[in-house]
Amino acid sequence: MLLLLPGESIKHTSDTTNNKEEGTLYFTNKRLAWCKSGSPTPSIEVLHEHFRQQQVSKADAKKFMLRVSAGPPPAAGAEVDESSLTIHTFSWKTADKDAAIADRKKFVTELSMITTKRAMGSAGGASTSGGQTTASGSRAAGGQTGETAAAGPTAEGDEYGKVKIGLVPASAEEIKLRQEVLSKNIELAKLHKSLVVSGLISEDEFWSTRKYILETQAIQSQLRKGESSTWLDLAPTTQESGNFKYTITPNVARRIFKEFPQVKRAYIENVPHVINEKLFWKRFVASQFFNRGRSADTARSSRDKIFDKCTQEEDALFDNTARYDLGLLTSLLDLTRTEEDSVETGNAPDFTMRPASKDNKLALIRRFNRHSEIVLQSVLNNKRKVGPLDSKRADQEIEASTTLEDLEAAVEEKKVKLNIQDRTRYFTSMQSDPSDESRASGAQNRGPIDPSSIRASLQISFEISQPVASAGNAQKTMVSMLDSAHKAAMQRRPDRIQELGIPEDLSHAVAECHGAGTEMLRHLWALLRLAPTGDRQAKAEKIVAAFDGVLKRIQETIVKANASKSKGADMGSMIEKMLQPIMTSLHAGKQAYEQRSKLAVAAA
Amino acid sequence: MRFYIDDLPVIFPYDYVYPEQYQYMCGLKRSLDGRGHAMLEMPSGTGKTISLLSLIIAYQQFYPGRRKLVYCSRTVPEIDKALAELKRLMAYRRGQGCDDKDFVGLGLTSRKNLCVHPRVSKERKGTVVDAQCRQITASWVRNKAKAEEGVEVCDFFEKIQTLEASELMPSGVYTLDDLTDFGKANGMCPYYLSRRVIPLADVIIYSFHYMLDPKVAEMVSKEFEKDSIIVFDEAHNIDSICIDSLSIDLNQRTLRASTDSVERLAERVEEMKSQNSEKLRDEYERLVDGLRDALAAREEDLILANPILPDKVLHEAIPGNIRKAEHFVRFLKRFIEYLKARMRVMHVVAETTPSFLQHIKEITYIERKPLRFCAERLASLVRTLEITDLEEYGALAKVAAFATLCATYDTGFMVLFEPYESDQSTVPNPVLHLACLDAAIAIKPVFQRFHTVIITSGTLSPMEMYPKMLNFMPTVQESLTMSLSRQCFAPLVVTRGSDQVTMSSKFQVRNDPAVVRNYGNLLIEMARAVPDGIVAFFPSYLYMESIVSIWNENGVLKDVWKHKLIFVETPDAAETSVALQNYRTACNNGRGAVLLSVARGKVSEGIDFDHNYGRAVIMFGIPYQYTESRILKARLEFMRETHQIRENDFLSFDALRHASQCIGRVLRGKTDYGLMVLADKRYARADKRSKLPKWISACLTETSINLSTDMAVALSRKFLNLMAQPFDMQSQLGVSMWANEHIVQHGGRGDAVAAAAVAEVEAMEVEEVR
Repeated sequence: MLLLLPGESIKHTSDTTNNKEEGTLYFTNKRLAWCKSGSPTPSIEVLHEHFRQQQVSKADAKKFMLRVSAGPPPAAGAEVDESSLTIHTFSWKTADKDAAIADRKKFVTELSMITTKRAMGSAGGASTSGGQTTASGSRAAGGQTGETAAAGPTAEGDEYGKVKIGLVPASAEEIKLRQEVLSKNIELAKLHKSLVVSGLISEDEFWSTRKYILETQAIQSQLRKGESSTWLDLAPTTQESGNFKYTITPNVARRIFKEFPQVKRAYIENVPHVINEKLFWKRFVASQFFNRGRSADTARSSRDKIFDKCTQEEDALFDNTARYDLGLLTSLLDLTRTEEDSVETGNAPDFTMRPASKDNKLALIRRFNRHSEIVLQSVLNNKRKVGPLDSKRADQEIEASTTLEDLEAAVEEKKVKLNIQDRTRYFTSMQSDPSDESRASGAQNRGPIDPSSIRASLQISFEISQPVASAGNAQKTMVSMLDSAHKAAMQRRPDRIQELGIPEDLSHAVAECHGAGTEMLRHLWALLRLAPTGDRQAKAEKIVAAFDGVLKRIQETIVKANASKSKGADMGSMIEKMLQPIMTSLHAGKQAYEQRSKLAVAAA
Repeated sequence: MRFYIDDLPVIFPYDYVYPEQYQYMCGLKRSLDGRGHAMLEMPSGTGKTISLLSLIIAYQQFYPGRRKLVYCSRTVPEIDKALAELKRLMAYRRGQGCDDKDFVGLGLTSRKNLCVHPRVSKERKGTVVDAQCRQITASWVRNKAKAEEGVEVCDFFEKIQTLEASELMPSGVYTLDDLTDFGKANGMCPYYLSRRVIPLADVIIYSFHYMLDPKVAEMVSKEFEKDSIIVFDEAHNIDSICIDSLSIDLNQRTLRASTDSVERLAERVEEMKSQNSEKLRDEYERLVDGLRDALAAREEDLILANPILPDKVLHEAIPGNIRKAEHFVRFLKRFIEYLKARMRVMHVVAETTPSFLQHIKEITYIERKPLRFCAERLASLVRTLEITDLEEYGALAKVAAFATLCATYDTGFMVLFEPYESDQSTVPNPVLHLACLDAAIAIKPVFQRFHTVIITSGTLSPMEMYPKMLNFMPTVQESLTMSLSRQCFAPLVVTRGSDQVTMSSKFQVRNDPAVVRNYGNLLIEMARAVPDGIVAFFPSYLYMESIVSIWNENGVLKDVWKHKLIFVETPDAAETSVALQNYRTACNNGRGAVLLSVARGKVSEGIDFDHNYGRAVIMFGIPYQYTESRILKARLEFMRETHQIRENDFLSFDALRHASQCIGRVLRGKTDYGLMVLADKRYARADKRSKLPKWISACLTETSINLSTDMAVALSRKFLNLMAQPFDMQSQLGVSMWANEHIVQHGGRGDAVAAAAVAEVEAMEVEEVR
């Protein structure tokens, strides 16, 4: 029997063979799974989200087969499997032909239900998925990250906004986010590999300290691309016979429906019970409605009852100016107010200034406006609608449009002090400025001494000599003294790490050692602080064991650094110096652990 | 800041002033001192309105007499803006310690824009709002309401009637929104409130029509004092507005509606005769007395003259044959029948007003004199009959005005009958035009009555045109250029496509596939190179429609769609407003958009495309008027004969003022920047360039007047790269921005008092150091 996921229920089962092995095919509300006979875990598992296509063998074929293609949803950034689609073939035993066909049909209908559901819900993009495809053994060899992914409830649509990051167990969306982050950030992926994949810490522990990365990713993936503004232009292809051919794919049809709700209505009313779809579109492209605003075709196209009605409807829509809520308009743009302000006078404009009503160009123009509006709305749809203009906002708008801001004297902005940690480099650009002679000469005399260091020392003496002024506030004095001391300490620090000229691979290795070491230590200390249990003990042991790996890596790095040729600088010792703190910490961690386990043994 | 111009302390609500603003104010002051008219051109986006208001308010408050300011603008949004600036100025003045006691500033607009009545204000059409308002506010309705129960009146209106004008509202500046808010809060009708307060107001802001259209001016503008200061802002188009306010079109629908109205009038007259003949008799008596009161008022110089009610009319009593109501109704009927008969002719007739009157006389025996009184007589009858729904009589009023204007003016008008809409059309749609040819007629009373009329705009070049057309003598005439610390706009004249085929909207070549394609390529290339918003203008609606349709078919627009969204101006104001709003949204959210519009359309006037709303404006072709129009031809002829303005001069003047108005839309202020692309080879000619405003033409260099599309795009990219750099405002100081010391440097007085104070402080400091 299949081991069920939380909230899962089996709908159909059937005995089938896969790769000449006998087993059972299950269809549940979450996935399609196949287990070898006797095994509770599925060796093939296709989540509904991953299901792509199905094929069946012909009814008169020898074998009754169902071929299912699966792959990650197309929109997903992280592909689990390198090959785009995984194909599984299941065959039914031929003993009872009808039963087998009926059996298979159950699966076929269920699977096709998924497709239709997806088509309906796909407007927003691909559905999300969690976990990974445990593809059939032979195919899904590479690329697995080995995460223990729990497939949470499948969300409808990809509303990352609803993701609660950091909840345990992680939701499917969060897992997907993690995958996306890892696929983007190689450094992090390496760390992840060395910590999680090797089993030192759990997935959730790893991410619990990196929530902000996930949050950023969630926000980034929430940004959606707006609708394309391209104009729906059905250009016919000319065939050899001289006829025109229009191609209307379901996609095009959808766009037509969106642009022209009248056509959608006509379609619903007429297809298929009055005319079939092909004829409908044929009449559509021949209709006056479609050809509105086209100079040549207008006369040629014939009258058509269905689409003439569309034309009328469209005109009615356009002519109904009451559909605009002028209250939402910025008063400065409301042309009707001017129109209402003046009495009708004067000679009518000559015909070049009047809209030509007869050849429908106006309808084309209005279609342009409508199209642009639709595109714009699709971008704005989930933002809040602009509320009706109250007079205050109108005033602001008018004010903004009348004020000449450059004539106002600049108002001093409130400044936030820039907190520069390493001020030693702050004045280097000034120092090397040859135009500043005194500074240059000073630099010559005193060698590469930073002018700011002198200033800093002055600062210290100044502040220390001042305690009388702030005698009442010992704390303040302390703070200022500590601050000065801190500054002084800053002076002695080596120059920025980039200046040391460490080769890139070495610095990467150093960073990696630091990263892995710190992460492990953090987990170790966390474990040590808690009351020991067998579980924790085992884990701590594992981590401590992994220290050796890190230490080995550190040694390797140092050796490598020694070997690398660098000009003058003793790279080996420098790197060693850099890695010293983490080595010390690791040893300290190890000692603490060992001490504790000794204690534990003693206690036992 | 505060500075002095001569002895006048000016308070300017900013810390610095642009040099051109300072010069502009100096020019204004000269014209106010000299009590003469002025024409001032100042580049768009350099704070014309605020300079104007600052100086005039300072003048008004400093010198005795407190001359009222009447500020006319083009569109309601511009009125809004001017009011907002006034409000800010007054607040700033208060902050500077000015005690502008009892200062009232307000704007006037239609009922539709102001109404607060819960039911009436819901109506979408202005005419409906007007009619419904009259139904509950007309005097006889209110009298009736006093007598009997159940007659609806407007409470908001009633409240105003109970109060004195001076008690109505506290002093201050009221924007249109403030006015509605005040009306709502106090249960008063903002529309009638604003009209009641007119005599008390120091500043009134409204649109051109309120001053120039005799029908409206009669109601709101006639009582302004002689020394009021009249300002026409954005007045580059003022001659067309003048002409429009006195031109009338009659078509068959108008005539049918008039016939109906006359029938109804006849019924009402009969009704009233049977019920209450006293009223009609009273009216008769009044008419015998003639318009003596009006004459008296005018002779005493109390009110503004009315072109529809010329002096001649006032001296005479209303002729006997239309004095009786039923006679007048019959008279109207006859006149309308005559017009209907004229409509049946199938060929074009153009004639002068005397010959038109002659023809009437021959056919119908209607004399000139009663026709001249037609409008006045109808108004009187409508009042007597207590008709509230004036909208029903709109057509008839039009006919009456037509008759009066025809009979009053021998020159400056033309009667034109056209059976077809255009030469190509075959379906008759007869229209009888009364075309005013002389812009001076409508504005004459304004120039006559008021000492100071200021005509100002960003584009008034060539300036000698306006005094001729409007028949006035400006005492101050100045064209200011823009002082810039960086060249923030780049006019480019694109004369040919990348394939070297010339581009032009000349009638002969405008539909040439090569030209259309090259225009299309220019748009594509600009859409690719320019960020955010692009505005493109076409010379006419017809041309825009046809070119857009061709572009749609040959795939030009497909390429444009890839880069930007496309919005197009339509004839419907609401639709265009929504398109504009969407255009702005698209510019703001980074999509970018192209707005296609028409040079003489609604968008080209009064909508700003500042900053990211317009990084480039493309003028496709030169926006000439349709030269085959008979009305235009007549006007050109009139101008040649009376003002000695050659046809071509006027046409290119007119085209280029619209073109420069369009391209000027892109620039609002000196921190803004934008490209101005003029795509027509004719712009390269000296005669066209000379008609552009100086501040634009000065920037047209040899390198930018004869470009192909690819060269223009390369220049644009360079320009945009340069402009996108951060702009140091301080670099403007002293060059394109003055503080007080710069004013003094340039020979002005600056803030003498403050300067002295500063000197004193400095002296003290020096002492202390010692």
